[in-house]
Amino acid sequence: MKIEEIKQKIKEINEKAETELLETGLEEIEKLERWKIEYLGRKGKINNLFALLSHLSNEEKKEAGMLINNLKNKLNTAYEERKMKIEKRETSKINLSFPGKTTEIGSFHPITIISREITTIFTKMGFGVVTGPEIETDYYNFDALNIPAEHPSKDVWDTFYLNEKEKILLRTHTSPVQVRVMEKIRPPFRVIAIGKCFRRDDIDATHSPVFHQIEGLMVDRGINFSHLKGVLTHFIMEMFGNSVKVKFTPSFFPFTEPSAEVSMSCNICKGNGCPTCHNTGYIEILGCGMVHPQVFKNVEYDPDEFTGFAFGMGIERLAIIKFGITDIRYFFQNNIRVIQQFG
Amino acid sequence: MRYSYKLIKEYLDGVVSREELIKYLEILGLNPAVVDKNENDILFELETPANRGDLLSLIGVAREILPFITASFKMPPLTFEETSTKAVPVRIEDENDCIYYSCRVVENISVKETAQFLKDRIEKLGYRTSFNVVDISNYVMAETGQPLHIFDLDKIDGYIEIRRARKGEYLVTIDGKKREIDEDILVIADSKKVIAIAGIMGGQNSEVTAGTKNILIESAIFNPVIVRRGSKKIGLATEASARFEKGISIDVCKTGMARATFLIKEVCRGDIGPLSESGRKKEISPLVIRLNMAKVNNLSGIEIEDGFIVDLLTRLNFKVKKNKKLFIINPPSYRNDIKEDVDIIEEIIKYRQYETVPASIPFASIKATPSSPEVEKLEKIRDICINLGFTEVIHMGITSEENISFNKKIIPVEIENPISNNLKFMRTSLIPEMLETIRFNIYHGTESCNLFEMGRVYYRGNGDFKEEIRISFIIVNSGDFFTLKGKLEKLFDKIHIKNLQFKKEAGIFSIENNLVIYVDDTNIGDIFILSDDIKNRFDLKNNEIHGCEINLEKILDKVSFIDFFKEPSRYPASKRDFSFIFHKDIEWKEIEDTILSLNLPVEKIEFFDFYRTKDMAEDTISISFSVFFRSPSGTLENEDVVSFSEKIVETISLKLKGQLRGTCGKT
Repeated sequence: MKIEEIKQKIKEINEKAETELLETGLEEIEKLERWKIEYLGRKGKINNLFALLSHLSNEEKKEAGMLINNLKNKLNTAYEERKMKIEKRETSKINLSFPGKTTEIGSFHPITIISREITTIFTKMGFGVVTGPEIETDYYNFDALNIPAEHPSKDVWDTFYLNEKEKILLRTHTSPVQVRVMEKIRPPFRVIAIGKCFRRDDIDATHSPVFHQIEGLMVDRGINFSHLKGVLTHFIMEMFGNSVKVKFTPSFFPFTEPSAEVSMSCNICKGNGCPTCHNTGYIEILGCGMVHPQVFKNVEYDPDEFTGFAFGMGIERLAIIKFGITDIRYFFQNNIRVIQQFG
Repeated sequence: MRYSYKLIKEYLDGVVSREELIKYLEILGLNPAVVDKNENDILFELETPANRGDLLSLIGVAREILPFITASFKMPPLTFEETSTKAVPVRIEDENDCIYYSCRVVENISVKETAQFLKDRIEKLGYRTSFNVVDISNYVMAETGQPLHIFDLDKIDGYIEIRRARKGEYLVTIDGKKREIDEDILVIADSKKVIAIAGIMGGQNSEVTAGTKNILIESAIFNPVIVRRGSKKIGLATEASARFEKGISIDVCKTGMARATFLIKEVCRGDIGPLSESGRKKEISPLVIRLNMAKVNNLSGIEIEDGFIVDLLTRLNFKVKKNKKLFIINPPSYRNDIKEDVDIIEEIIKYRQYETVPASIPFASIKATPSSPEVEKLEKIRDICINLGFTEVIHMGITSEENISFNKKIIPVEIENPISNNLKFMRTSLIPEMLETIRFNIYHGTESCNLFEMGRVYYRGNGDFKEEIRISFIIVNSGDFFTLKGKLEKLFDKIHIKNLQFKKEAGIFSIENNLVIYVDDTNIGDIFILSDDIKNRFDLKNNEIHGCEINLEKILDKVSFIDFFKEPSRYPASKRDFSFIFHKDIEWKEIEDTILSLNLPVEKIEFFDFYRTKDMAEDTISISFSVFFRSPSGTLENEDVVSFSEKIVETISLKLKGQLRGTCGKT
């Protein structure tokens, strides 16, 4: 074949390729790929052209080779541009309304959420967080807190004994932490303690043998009942909003005198009366009082020098009120579909 | 107990509406709960504090609201004439057990059905009616708070003795049950037999019946602790025992006897005999409490006028004398809850009303009380776990014997008085309850999850009871062992725990596929592929479960969150990938250590793959990893990296018999 014929062939292929490329359309990338194989593939029309060069002189080979290469590059570029156009179109065709791919992240247990919320409010007021053992002695759980050994006032704390003879028990409240703290440090201080407590209650919708409590204690010179009201009212409003009404009524705890029970307007019925608040419009949320002088004497504080207040509340109860959880058993059932509702 | 507005009003000489009564009781924190209401009366129950036995009486409640109203207290009629000389001698074995005992004979009475007027009252108070004398004793208990007992005099032999029961004695109580009694139980006996369990319940052998002609009224004070122990021991708590446990004063005891005698005379007629008494016949000299005015204001936070205090305490039947800034106060004998000045301060604030005390924020030092560092570390660890995709669970920690049976080496903590067999032991590991939770969730349709728990386990060591804080992780159908291990390594990285080592040793939850985790040669826990055996025990067959449990107390003091700033190198890094064939039991740590021992400018080594193909020799494995080189002091040239790589290849093949499969990477 002569060089002119080859040149003619190159020209023909060029025109044909360009026309066919345009005919591939933008809808189907497969047609474009077929076009690429036809012209630019290993056994494609362009590569076949090189086979025609064998009879030419070296000079002619060089010239024709260059033309073929130029064509190859040109078609390659055209192919790439075309491909890009199609891809762009494909991208714009994606339905963005589909939901995103989920990422698994963890959730805190509601008890942790409430504990942390309470902790944040109190640490902002300068309270420090401390802990104490869950296995306690009769002394820290009862005697040091002025709870008489054999008196009906002990009945609220139905106790699990690990060794009754040696007076080892599972703490029935977080109040022993008060005594342990006071044995270690001198006033002024303000602390809270959070943790598990145990009572010999049968399991039902409102009782659990294991529950969590948060305990608070502030001791200084000149702390009084008005301060107790101030701090706890602030806490409740931070926790449940400024519109709740807070009520302090007399109560009895052996380790505080005077003692009070704090209730707030029911957040479920907004004070109109519902089963949760037993139609009273108010729900009890915590117990508190001024630290009993005998408790101070037990830890060798001078009750004439220092006064203080203490309070305690059930975390499950707060979570029930805050989240509207209907049954205390949910807390220990660990149903993932429940826990993951709360973040 | 049940209270009636109308009956309470009988002790008040003046007006109080039923709405007012309920309101005052609410202010006092007694939480009245109305049980019945009609145009005439309102019946309610109260939450009385455990130290206020005096409020378990109509008289007590009437007295309690006196400060709110103008009416005065009116004692019901107590006077009668003794018309006979018949008496039964009384003797107390130990005056510690029985503080005071009194009894009175009434002869020739007519025992019959109770008259309607008394029946109505008894029913209002929630008691079942019986014979007139029995109803009177119940009514007087409700009125005065003094539990009484009425014996059939003709069934009593000789004298009355208050003594401890003797071994082998028993009594059929009026509820028809045979009660075994022993030296711990205080009883009333005659010369021949036990006739009542003191303060708890009388016996059938001396019970009043339709044919009773002559009776013996008992009004006594038993040691509260003895009654309480006895009631627990025989498993019988009564309205009487509840009142004795709270303590009764001699005045109340005498009032009860007088009132009962009066009513029996009125209702049943009969000849009244003289009182037989034994024990402490008078109150010990009344308590004197000094109350400093300044203390009232300091503790309440408000100014309270002297006049308010004097009026209040007088209305409450306290004797008050004022001596400059000091009140000298005698509480009435029935107020055994009042022991010191703070008790009186509580009364003052209570009647002043808690609502009137303003809420104020204490003036306190700006210096906050620091939290314990452990608490802060634990909370940060909890945050990291959530970030690693774990959902938090919290278990009771009280569990079944089955659940503590995995680790035979630990002595478990057992509850002496459990509520059920499933809740009898304190957990020795966080894993078993976790597996129960997984079973629960799979059953409820959550088939894959990543969970963690931070909580305590309990055991006995050296005779002591111990507890320690642990954390556990479980991944269920959501990745392989290395997914969990990777998360764990990330956690340790974040809390800056270094010198972490994993050693393949048998564990509790997998013998074969368990790594013991060491930090500085201290065993801190395990990470494992849950064994099929345990999966089967928890009904978790066919689930891919990997777990980990760590004793946080062993690492907490090493945990930190911020390292001192390190200037990052400004020069570029070079990465080289290597693939070696090793013996299949090669430890990754050895490879890492070998490379690090060369002291090359290695920034990090990243494992990325391991595999086996058929063409490889048996017992071999191919491991691929990347090494990142970066110098703090200059750009590494290609030749440098090539020479580092050669060194690595050479050393690994020499020391670890690793056979190079390939290397690649660009500078």
